[in-house]
Amino acid sequence: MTHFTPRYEYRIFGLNEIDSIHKVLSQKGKAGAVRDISEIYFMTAGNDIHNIKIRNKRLDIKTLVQQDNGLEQWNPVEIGVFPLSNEAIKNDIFPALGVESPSLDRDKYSLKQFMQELILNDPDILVALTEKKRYAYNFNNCICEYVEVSINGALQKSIAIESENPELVKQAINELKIEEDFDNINYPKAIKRVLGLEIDYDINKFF
Amino acid sequence: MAKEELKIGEISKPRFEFRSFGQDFEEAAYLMGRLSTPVPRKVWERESDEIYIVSKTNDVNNTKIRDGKMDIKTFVTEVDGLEQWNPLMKGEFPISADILKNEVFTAFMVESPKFDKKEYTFDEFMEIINNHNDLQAVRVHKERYGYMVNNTICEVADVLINGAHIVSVNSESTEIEDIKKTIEDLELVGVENINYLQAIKRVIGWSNKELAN
Repeated sequence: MTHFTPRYEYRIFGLNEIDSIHKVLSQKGKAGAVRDISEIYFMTAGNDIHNIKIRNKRLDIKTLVQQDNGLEQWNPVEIGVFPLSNEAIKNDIFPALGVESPSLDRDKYSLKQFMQELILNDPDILVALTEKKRYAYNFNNCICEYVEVSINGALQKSIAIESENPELVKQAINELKIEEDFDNINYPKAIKRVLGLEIDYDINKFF
Repeated sequence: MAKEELKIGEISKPRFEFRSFGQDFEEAAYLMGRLSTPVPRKVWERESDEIYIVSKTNDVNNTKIRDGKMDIKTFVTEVDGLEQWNPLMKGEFPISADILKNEVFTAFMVESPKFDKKEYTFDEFMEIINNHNDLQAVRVHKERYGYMVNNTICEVADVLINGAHIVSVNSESTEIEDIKKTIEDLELVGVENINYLQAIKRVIGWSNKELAN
């Protein structure tokens, strides 16, 4: 496993209300690469602190280390590239999902075997296929991005600000004029809302 | 038999329907606008907030709540890839336990909970849904733009499923051939017919199928 230095993260999701913030970011920030990325997220109702996803057959788990002054610090851990050992699946992935590991008959699982035999038939695990178009920016010495993300085919937009220095992130939030009514929403939380894995108590205000 | 003249926004005999969902129906939307006959102003743009109740064990009854009223439609038949749905029940909250048990939960095709009260308000009903493992309430916001092509009722809609955006196009009519002609004219031949229930299940991860694009 490879360990990285955790950064403080701030991320918001929305649709058209994100556009004006992106406009400011694109004017004030230094634009970087634009990348198209496909990822598979694994979601369970009980898990709020692990961000479990596969990109290019590589499975990573980011764990929420702390929430500090509205910012979140996540620690990314690379579990490995498929085929993955049954030890990694049993000891790392299923505990992070918060559901009981099924019996594992193979020593190693290809991505297809993992999905077909262990994930897709588990009623407690939902899969979110995401397609992201990520526009990178450097702003206020923070790593920033604007993202158009399709979650199981449905579109949301997101803006993120990250740095190892939380003060720089807060400055960037102010500079970009992000209103206080935007909550810091991480990817698992945003996906859970779309999937309905969080009970929406505001639904009664719908009428 | 003479064809029924469809009037958009009014009740007719059960219609067949083609509908699809995805991100990009710009060409179909453009053609719909160009080919449409004039439609009443009241259907130019319509906006609504609805709650769909989806059930893990049911794909044939479509249950939604709009303007505080429950509306259940049931799948009748499929002809040439087009679906026909009929109204099954409409009810206004508070709803009696008898109706919930015998009509609503029967339509969900899940085990009915024990009802201790004679009738249930909307909030009480939602609490039952939230506590049921096989049912889920899904927020759906619709912005619908109405058209009439080949005497079929058409629409392009911006739809938010739990806040995430998808686009829908549809054509519905009592006359199957009129819908088929419309699918051709809108260059939607080969595009999968996806109803609301299926689209919602795909977005919330209850089905592994993808939307049309």
